[in-house]
Amino acid sequence: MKESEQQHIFNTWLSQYKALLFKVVRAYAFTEFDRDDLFQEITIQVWHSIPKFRHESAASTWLYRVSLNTAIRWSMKEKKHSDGRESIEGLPSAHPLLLQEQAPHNDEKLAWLYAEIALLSEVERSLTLLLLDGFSYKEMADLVGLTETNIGVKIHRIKKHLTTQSKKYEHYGI
Amino acid sequence: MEFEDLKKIWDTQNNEPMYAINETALHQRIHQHKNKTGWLAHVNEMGMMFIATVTGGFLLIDAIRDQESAYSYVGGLAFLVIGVFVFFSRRQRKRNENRFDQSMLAELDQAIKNAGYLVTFARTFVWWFLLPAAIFSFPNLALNNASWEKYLLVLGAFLLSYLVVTWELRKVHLPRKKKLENLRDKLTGDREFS
Repeated sequence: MKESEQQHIFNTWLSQYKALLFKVVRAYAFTEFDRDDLFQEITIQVWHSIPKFRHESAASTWLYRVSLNTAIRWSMKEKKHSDGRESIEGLPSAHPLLLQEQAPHNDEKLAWLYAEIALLSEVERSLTLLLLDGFSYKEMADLVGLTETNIGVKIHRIKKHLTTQSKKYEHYGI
Repeated sequence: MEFEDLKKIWDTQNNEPMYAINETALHQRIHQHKNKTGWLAHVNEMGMMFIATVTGGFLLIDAIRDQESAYSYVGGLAFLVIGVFVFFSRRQRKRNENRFDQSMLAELDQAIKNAGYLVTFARTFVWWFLLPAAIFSFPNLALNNASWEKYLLVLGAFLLSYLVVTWELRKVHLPRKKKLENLRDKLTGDREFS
């Protein structure tokens, strides 16, 4: 594949599916610096994956596969990535940031949902994102590599957990 | 809230993008980083190939030029075989690495396999590199009546390479393999939420 063709596909994907990439970044990285680092890592992997894309799945499924795999591996690199407690926000950076927040994340319910997702394990986070974005059990099974039954059990538990937490959230207004 | 309500909350973010991308900076960074994957394995293998082929080449040239014994030819050839062995191992690893069309589980299995390759590479280093090198070097030093400083130098080089490879095994490869295996357990196992 010519580099110009690869660049064209990359630009198209980035413009069409950036929301998908942002969701993964926000679910796995919790500081401005980490979000930038993860976004860079994902886009590099997306770039590398383009010549291997054979249109056997939708581009969105492919991008979810690449970005979730990258995010899970990235979050393993250092503990600070996975628990989100250690912040290095505010430190001067040698490079300009890749991501600039468009509008402050002032949707309280959405922020709560992301906070709940952040408390799940790396694998459960992936499944939750796919579930919330409307993927079927079959699609998730293909993407993750587990059986539909196994996916079903995990999803059932995640759904139950999230709805229980949402009831607490509604009740206590936390 | 029911799950459908959570989904409605989730879908609100599709209306406006969360972030703006600095595209110039992104393209610069991709250009800088696109060839930097797997650098540790790359440095290891290239280093080994370089040492083995250069050493083997020099030994063979010396043996041919000075009409040395068959022992010197064997030593040179042994190093070249090591170089070829590392080359083919590397080719196999790269072939496996370039597969993107896999599920998360398959990709994890591949990552575990790659980590296992590096663990084996480091664990067997003594057998496929140090031992043949020692079998050739020390008798050769003895045959040439080398000074004790030369013995110390060769011994020091062997010891240093052993320590570096062992350190890398303990601090990098084994922990990484363990983390990947734990992640695989998380992916395939079930857990109850408290």
